[in-house]
Amino acid sequence: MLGKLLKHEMKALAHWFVPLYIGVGIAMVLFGIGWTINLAWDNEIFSTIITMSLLFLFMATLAVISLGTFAIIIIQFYKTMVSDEGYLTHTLPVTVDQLLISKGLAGFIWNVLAIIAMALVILFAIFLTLVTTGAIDSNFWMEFVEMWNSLRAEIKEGIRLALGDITGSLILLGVEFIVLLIISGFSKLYLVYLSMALGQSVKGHKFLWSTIFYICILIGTGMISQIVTTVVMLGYGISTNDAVFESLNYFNFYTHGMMLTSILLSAAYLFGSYFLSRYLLKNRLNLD
Amino acid sequence: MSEILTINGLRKTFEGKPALDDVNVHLQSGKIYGLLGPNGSGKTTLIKLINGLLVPDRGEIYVEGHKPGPESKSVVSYLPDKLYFNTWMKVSDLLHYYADFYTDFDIQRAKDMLKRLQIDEHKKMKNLSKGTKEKVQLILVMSRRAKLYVLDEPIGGVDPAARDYILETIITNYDPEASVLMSTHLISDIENVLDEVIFIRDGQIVMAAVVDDIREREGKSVDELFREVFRC
Repeated sequence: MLGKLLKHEMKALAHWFVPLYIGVGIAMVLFGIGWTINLAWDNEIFSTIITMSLLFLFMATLAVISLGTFAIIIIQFYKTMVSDEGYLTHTLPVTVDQLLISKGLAGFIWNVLAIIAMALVILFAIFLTLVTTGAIDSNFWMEFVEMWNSLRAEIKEGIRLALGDITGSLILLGVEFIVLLIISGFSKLYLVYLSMALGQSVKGHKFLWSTIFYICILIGTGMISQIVTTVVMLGYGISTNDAVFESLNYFNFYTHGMMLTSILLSAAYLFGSYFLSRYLLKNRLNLD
Repeated sequence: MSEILTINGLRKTFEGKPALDDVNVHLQSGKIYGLLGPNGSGKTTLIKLINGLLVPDRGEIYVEGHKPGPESKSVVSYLPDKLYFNTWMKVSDLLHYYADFYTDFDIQRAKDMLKRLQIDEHKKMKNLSKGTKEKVQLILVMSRRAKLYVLDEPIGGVDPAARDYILETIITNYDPEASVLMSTHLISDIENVLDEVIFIRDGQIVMAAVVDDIREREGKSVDELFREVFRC
């Protein structure tokens, strides 16, 4: 059933995301046309106006992808779980776990796609600027290949060093970073889901209450993170004596500690929000 | 004849006020039951509890021996008193959605019913009238070969011609081994299809009787008895 839920969730989200990305595509075409006109036109005032407009368009596109993704995921969860559509969702022969996992996975996948889309938009803008300003000429590609080859050699050397590192510190840092990205990506989603699970349990004005709960959750988790991080930092300060400085690479020691703290905090938020949402949807479901 | 629904000592409160109190219901398979009561008597609350959309404060609910959950939901076909579809979906999308989740969904039966009512399955839900949307919802619910159909006000808010169609759809499509629990306050329209009635008032069951007994012993129609019991 989880596979079926995920399939329908991805499909339902695609219904919103496809028009959004068509819009992004159109914005990029307009950006390209505008930039080309801008370069062909020899008028300072006009050029300034166009440049500012294109800059706005570029920033707006990134904002629409980022905020739009967040908004779509929230609306989809709210509509299908706590509004009228919830009558269908909650009478499907599936468990609350399956519902929550499918929502989380679909939301995470679309978030990853949004990050890729934003990266592509930035690369497109850089590429277009380089092409139209003449920075890309016949020599560019040769230089690019040379640069790439040297970069590749640097990367190879980096990997060799990392593999040869007896503490495995660099590889560990990379792994920690990826784990943190994944866990914090999920925990952000489930904290939003928790705010809606809390909001639906209140009688009336459910969306308003969900928003209020979300703000409270953001403030609460922000404060907890701040306190825990400060305590860990102080702990490091106390335990870091001269011997530690001499025996260990302090940067590695500190960075891994902070990474681990961030991972544990995100994991705590993820599990906390998941199980609290699960409890509320299972035992405190209150559809109007 | 086996018991399809068992409810014992059910209590549900909202903000401290009881919406249902000490409710006991036992439904046998193969019968059509009317859950009858005035507005605010607790009909919808009871139906939501049966479907796991609310959790009781006290008491037990068993559908074919299962507490409300995935197992009970796989044998109960529920028609709520509101539309629960994504309006961007086409009717055909909904058919496939139902077929995906409910193994007892008879897609051919649904297509036949849609055809009979001249509802284009390629149309989006948002382009259909409210009445047609309600018919689509009823068709989907009645196209399941469920063991218990729980219908909340299936004829509320529709014109008399549509009421006849809805009742006909229910009677002709439910499996003789299955049961139907139908809530309404429009008693005269449905009393001819009912086997038994359950009267509910202020969250309590005030009477449960066989329709033929009411007619024979009391010499009254269900509608007349209802008016008598619930006289203001």
